[in-house]
Amino acid sequence: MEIFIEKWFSKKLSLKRIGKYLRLVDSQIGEQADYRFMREEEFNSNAVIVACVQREIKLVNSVEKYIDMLHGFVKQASREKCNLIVFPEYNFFDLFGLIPGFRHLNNFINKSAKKQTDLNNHNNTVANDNNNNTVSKILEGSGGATLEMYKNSHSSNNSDNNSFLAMIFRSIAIPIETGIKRIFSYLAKKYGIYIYTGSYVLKEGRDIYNAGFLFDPDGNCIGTQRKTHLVEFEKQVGFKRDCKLEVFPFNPKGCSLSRLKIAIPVCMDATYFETFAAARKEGADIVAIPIANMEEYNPWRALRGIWPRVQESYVYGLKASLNGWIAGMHFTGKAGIFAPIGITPEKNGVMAIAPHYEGNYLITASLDMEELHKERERAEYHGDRNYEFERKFLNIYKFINNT
Amino acid sequence: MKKIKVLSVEWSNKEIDTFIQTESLMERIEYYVEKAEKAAGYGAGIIVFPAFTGCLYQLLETGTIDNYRHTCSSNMPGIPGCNTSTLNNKFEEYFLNQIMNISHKYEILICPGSYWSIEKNPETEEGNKIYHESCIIANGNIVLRQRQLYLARWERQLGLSRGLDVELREVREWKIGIVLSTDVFYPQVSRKLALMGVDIVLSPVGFIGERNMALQISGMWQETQQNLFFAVESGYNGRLGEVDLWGESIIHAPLEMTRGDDGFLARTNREKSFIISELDNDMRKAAISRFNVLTGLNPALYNNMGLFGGES
Repeated sequence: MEIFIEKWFSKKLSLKRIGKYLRLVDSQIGEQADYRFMREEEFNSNAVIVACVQREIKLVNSVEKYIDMLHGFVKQASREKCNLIVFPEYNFFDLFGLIPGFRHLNNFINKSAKKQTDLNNHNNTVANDNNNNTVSKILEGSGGATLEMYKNSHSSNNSDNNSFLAMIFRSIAIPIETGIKRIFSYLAKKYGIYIYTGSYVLKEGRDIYNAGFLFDPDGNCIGTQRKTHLVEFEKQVGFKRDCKLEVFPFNPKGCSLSRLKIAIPVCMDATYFETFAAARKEGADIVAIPIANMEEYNPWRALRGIWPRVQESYVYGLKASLNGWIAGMHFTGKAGIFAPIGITPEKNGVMAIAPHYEGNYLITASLDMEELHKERERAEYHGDRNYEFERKFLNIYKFINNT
Repeated sequence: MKKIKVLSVEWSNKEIDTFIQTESLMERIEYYVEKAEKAAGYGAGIIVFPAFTGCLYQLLETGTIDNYRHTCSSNMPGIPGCNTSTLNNKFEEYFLNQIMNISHKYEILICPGSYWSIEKNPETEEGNKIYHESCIIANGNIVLRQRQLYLARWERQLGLSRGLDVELREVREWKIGIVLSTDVFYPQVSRKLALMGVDIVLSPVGFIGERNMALQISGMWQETQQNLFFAVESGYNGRLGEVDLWGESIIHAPLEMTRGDDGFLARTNREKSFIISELDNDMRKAAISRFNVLTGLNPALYNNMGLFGGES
């Protein structure tokens, strides 16, 4: 089965087929739009213009339609003179449409799931007043978030891993990686823009990772970052997590500041302050986060991720979001561009944000890198160090690691 | 079933202006302690006062605030009372003794906000250090002292010293710690308490600069959400010497156990002088089981990246 699916995807995403279609795209773009030239002419400042994609999952029946979708966003970002465009997590779900019969099955599952979601929403409203007691009774005696709990959670076996989904992910990983790298390389070079691909499944031996790739304006893949903190679903499917966070050079033409760096962790990584502390330690000025949040939208839940991380670490934060329904799972989330409170127009930490948590949007903002560096210097509640405490703090990580 | 009632006081500008002597401040403190105990019932309850409450006491103890501002501002811009040459460590003692006396009368844990704590060099009179410190008082005893570990820019300019570590105490079956003021913006402080198994964080705060709720949300609210403890935040609004401070009093809990999924059990919203809430630890554990951040920690990553513990 695994071999069959891999061969099927290899055929549907063959480099020959992709190359042929990209040549067609090339001829459509034509000579009149030399975006690279425009960019070099128009930029000479401390600012970097960035774009974040928010998009709805739409199953495709051909790779050409998938390329059109990606191209549409890149083209729009280029028209808005962006130096960087960021795509969301699980940026490949649309390609499940290539699996024979998946579309019909998907429609059926989604319809049932939507009905269940509506019912749950109704029941939640009715039961809200009694909710506290009920939850307490059901889960009485459950453990707390302590070292003991951490130890227990990591000593449990993975017998309940979803081997079927793991098989699907392993099957499609290599054909999709090969195909999307070709597509993004082309688009990055054609438009002279940095592209963060969003995340895909990366297969290394028998291991699979949730990982994204960064392309420079010459079409080179200059960075690969695997997710470092997994959600429960990913643990069950059998994803591995990375234990290193890298930063990559980010030097858009025309930007007067050189040696800027960008980190590209994935979704749940933004729930942990340590991720952003590591990015800052390595010199990042921008942290891009692709997300695909499998939950009903709530602004407070959304606030548990990148926004507070940006406030703690004094970087610019870029969030690209995937939304919509697939296989009965509902994804929601607003794309957003964030900065330390002191340098945002409304003094709320937000540079730009999508107007709704579902649908397609491209949001953009101009990031003043020099202003960010100045803000770090003048910030009231940032930049202090307490080395003695931090050495003791480090020991607690060592303790957990050895537990 | 483990529950406790907590009360968080918020000082307003108007109320602070009525504290013209230490007596009026202490009367008001006792008024709220009594209120807290009535609300909590005997034997179970915590009250938290805003940061700098003790500093205000120390300032009042030195004489009138106006006189003090006049005489000391050239030496120590910002907080006239915070000066090793004029700040008498007896003022700290007076303040804490009075709180301890109050606590004898009430079966309640008292976090009296914060005060300047002087540490004298035993060998020489010079080189005294001033810390921003808070504590928990129960039955006439100090059960936990916590010094602020990180300093705001204005505190660095004042020349304050940093504490060495964060601690917690188990009191009446609750593991309790303090995250004092500026430390709410340094996530390693809350994280360490969370990994030590803290149930409730007491957080006296007072922020400098323009009032901005986004700033406050970026502090203890989000620390609660990334560590899943309860937090009782208590805000100071008004002048302290030459410094204007602000902050809302909020009782926080993990989103999954709050009405509206907003993480607030209670907040003053600039309309109340205190708030009360019941903390239910079973409900908190249920909420954690639905979204357990700490089990997803990746210590191998943090060790590989050499996070913390670097220069000295």
